[in-house]
Amino acid sequence: MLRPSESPGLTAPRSSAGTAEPAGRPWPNGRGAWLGQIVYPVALVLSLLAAWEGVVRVFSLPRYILPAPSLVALTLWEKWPVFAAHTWVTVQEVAAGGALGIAVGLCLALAMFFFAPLEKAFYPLLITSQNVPVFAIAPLLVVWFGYGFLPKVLMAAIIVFFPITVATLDGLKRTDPDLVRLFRTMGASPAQILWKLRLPAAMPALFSGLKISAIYSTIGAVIGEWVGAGAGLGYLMLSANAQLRVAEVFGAILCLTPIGLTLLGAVVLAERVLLPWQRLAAREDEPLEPHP
Amino acid sequence: MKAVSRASALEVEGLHKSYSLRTGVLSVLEDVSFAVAPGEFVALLGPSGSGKSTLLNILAGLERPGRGTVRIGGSAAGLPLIAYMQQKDLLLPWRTLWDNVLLAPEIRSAAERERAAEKAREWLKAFHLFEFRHAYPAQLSGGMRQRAALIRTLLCEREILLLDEPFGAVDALTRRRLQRHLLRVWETLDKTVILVTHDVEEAILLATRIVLLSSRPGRIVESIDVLPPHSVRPQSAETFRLKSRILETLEQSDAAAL
Ligand SMILES: Nc1ncnc2c1ncn2[C@@H]1O[C@H](COP(=O)(O)OP(=O)(O)OP(=O)(O)O)[C@@H](O)[C@H]1O
Ligand SMILES: [Mg+2]
Repeated sequence: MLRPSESPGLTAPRSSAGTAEPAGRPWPNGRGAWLGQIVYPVALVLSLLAAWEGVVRVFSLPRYILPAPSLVALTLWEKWPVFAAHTWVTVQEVAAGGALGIAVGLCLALAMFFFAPLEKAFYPLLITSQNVPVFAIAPLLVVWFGYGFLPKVLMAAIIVFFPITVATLDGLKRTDPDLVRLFRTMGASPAQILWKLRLPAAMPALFSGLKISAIYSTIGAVIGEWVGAGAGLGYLMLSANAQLRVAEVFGAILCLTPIGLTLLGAVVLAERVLLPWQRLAAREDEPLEPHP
Repeated sequence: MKAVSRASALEVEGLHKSYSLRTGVLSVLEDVSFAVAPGEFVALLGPSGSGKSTLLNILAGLERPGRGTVRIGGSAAGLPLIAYMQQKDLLLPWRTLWDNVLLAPEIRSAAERERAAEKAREWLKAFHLFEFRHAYPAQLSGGMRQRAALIRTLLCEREILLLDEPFGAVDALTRRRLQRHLLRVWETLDKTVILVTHDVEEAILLATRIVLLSSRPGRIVESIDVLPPHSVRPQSAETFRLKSRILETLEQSDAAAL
């Protein structure tokens, strides 16, 4: 409603400004770079798999020590309903735990930001708590909450909330004080300063936290399942391992990794959509970060 | 020349400001007193580090004076009367140009933002930024960002404009055009302007009065009434004499400080 309808001639005026780009490489992040990002890792993985297959066949290793990739693939193919069922259980745990962890992390960061005493009280505890191995907490959660869904969700949340809290708090604190003063001269209320300034300014930091959390989110759920569960990929790994069905262990790992990667992909995508200005900033010679 | 008959728009008396650093106390402003009448256009000239930005910060209510009083519009609390454009452009990197310039009306209310849209369009066009209104600050040059910051300041709709080197990052030609725009704003909207600049000619061309600040600690060395903006002929001998006199005064105060 406020935006005039004509589309801006953005690219034209900018290129006419005559910034000299090296010939043949118009954009450092062009399609060539994209292709490389896919081709090289895929080539590496394929050659590793080939080597693995070769080693297993040449030395005829028994399948309960190291199954060949082809056997892992075959197992996945034959037992896919089992894998799918267990994957679904873990996905649910990760999703619920992730959502809880993000919510708690955000609230904690905001609370610590706005009440300095709370930060002073909580921060050392928060750091120390991360030194306690999650493996030590998992059995306690089983004691308190049983073998069901809840302890796994809590485990995932415990892993997820920490990077979110630390990153968001950091982002909130790094808001350029000059920008805060600008808002004050404009008569902005504290709520407006939060919504229009501090939170948007903290977004890049929040997304850094989210990326770390996305990668680690499955770990919490799997540990929760190891300690006591009747379903889920962690349970599957443990029981298959106990029966020396090593191909199934590898199958479970193969089912697990895409969960974290998908989450990471979702975070990266969300960042691109929600913070388009950030990628522009990254391309600039001078950083666009609110002036330090 | 506008008469200083009405009550002052802004009055500073016996202002001192110092910062305590680890190495000792740094005195930045010393016994600064001056008054600005409503509708005046004052240029603040002084060497780098003489405390010009500090003075504006104090006027805008962002910093406390060490000693002395600041009165704005007859009362001590001056914030709602002042729009302040700082030396850095301070655009929000996550907002497009359009959303950046409309920040102040938006903070007042959604209806105000709606109402200000027409004016924003007009200013963006006048400042040759309209086709860039959907661009983010990172996509703009330093001069473009500075112009956007100036538009945002104008859209604050305050009586007194504090402008800290608004044309520092633009070329001579653009600078001329922007100066003319600023003059038009000042004349048509009847604003009071305090402009910090390093450019003596700019001060002569724009201001009705030039206040010279010594090098640190900043004291007011001289306050010179100049011809109203449109009667100044940039190439005239008179302008040239004024220019060299100002430069001389600044040099002398600099030498005295050493
Ligand atoms: N927050 C601060 N803490 C300590 N010293 C400061 C602070 N702000 C400014 N100063 C000092 O005060 C002096 C005057 O600074 P100020 O920014 O007002 O100068 P200026 O006249 O605006 O200079 P320029 O023309 O280069 O912008 C400088 O020496 C600076 O180091
Ligand atoms: Mg300055």
